[in-house]
Amino acid sequence: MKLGERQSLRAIYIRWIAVAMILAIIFALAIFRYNREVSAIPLEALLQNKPDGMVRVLGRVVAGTLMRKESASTFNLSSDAKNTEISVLYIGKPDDNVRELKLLVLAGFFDPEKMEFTAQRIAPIPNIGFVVAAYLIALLPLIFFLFNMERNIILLSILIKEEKAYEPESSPNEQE
Amino acid sequence: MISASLRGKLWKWSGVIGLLSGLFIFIGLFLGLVVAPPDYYQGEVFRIMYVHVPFAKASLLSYITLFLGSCFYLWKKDFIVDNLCHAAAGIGVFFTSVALITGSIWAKPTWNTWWTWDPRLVSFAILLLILIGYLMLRTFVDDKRKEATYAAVLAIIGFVDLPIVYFSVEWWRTLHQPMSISTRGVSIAPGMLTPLIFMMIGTSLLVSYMLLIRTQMLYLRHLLEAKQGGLLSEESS
Amino acid sequence: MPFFDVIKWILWKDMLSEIRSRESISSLFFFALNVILIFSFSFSVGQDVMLALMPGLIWVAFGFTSILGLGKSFLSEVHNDCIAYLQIAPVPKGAIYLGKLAGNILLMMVVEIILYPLFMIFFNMDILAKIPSLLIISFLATVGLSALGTLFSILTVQLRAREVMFPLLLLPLSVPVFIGAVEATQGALSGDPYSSYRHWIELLFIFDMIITIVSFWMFEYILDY
Repeated sequence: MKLGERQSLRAIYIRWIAVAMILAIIFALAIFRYNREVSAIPLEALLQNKPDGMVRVLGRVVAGTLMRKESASTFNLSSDAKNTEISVLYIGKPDDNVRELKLLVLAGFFDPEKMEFTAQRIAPIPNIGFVVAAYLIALLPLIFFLFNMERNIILLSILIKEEKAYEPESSPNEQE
Repeated sequence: MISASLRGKLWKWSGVIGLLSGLFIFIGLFLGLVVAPPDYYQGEVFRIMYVHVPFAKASLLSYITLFLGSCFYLWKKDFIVDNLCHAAAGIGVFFTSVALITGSIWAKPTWNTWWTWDPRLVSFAILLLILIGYLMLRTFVDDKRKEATYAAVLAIIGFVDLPIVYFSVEWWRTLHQPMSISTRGVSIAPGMLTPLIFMMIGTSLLVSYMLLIRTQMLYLRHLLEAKQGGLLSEESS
Repeated sequence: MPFFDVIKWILWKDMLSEIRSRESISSLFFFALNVILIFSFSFSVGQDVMLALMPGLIWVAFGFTSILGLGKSFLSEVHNDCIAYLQIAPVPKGAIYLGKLAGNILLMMVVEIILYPLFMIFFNMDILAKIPSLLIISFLATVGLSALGTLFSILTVQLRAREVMFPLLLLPLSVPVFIGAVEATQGALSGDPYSSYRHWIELLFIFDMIITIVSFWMFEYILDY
């Protein structure tokens, strides 16, 4: 095997910085998508900022307030800090997840005058923290491991050459 | 002996393998993190699967390599294959630990428990212990020839024992804990499957690449020790 | 038939040195006794819970005792510089393994046979009728542990870190033995019919077969000069 003639140490650094940058771009895009499609605001933020337009809010169905009717359900939604509550009119498809004490993300419109939230559908729970942790634990050590191995190959080749005991591999008794 | 020309050819191909694996993994990550929509019930958490499942298969791949390499070593006593086994064990430790940790991170939001005595998880934990024992054995044996033989024997008996461990834990678990939590049969929508396929191919290529360069690194390390005169003593005092 | 002669001679040598010095058997026995005593103090539970835990306690005690006993299978050979002689002896190396294995099984079985009545006494268990099935289970599990332990002993006995490496290698791979032994002992102690714990005994038997055959084969490479 040729001993590290083809690559230099600098090429390794460049290569792995490029890999890290590509991964950073992919993660940035993922975070953008997450913010656009999935992330939900807590109930307190909803009441404070009173946003217009479609918004996703995270809260828990209060026990004893759920009433299912034919076309819609009404219930109260509270934040886990238990100091705010709003009433919700859910006009989406009938769903098993709408039950008492369940943590939900509702997508819909907020009416600040009537203090009522009209929820059109249920959105998935935004548990991105676990995903971020898992990917960091998987990919960062991997990059470090690979970078280290390639760097060691170059350094060892340099050390072997400096030993001046390096014999070319094409000696007759080496090849079959 | 593995011929020098074969080794040269493998080494030349390693760059291509590395590049291909990077490509597949980048595409897989992009599809999995950016393009695939969130799952209705699990939310974002299913994306952990894109890194957990390929890494688990990678650890099994490296263990199979370790086993086959050990058998080949005992048959032909080829020193390079011994380096391959040593490399495979190190890579196996990495992938097994990450698979266990990411599996645990996935289990918490999905089943509300960090750990379950599932036969696959237990077998992976025991695989990790076998690999760590293997690496420690190689560290503590002083004589290089004995080290290679003993390590090969350990790898073979560990490989033979691991299915027995798996089945015995499975029988034990069906007796004591009903199969309410199962890591099998998780249905996957087609849109979620494509990134997984890319990641699996990419990770398999990645394992090949890592084996090639780690074997090269260990070979060079031994070569350096030999040139410095540290390798040839049969019995260290 | 040098093969069986080798097994016989190695077994005879080990038994003779053991009978003369009695160091292994006494140290193993008292170690097991200590482990049992510590367990009985470690769990502050009632008598019935203790009886439910009993199979696990028995096998943890026997397991730790095996680690102590099996780890020094080849220690006398190392101390007397006999490993090289074993390597150059023109005998099938697998026979050396089987001889050592037989010696280890015999040693561990003697310790276990002495300990079972003591269990009866300390924990007030009425197991006289179940002793035959308990001994069969013990025998199968002991064969399994000894098969693994004898192999790992030759791998680790010359290392500096012998006391650490031997249990580290032995315990993960002997998980099927512990599962099978505990479950089968549980079945036997609670008086279940044989058919209900039959597959655990079969598990132990299959494990013993496979591990003994593979280790027997591997010994040729380990003691290869």
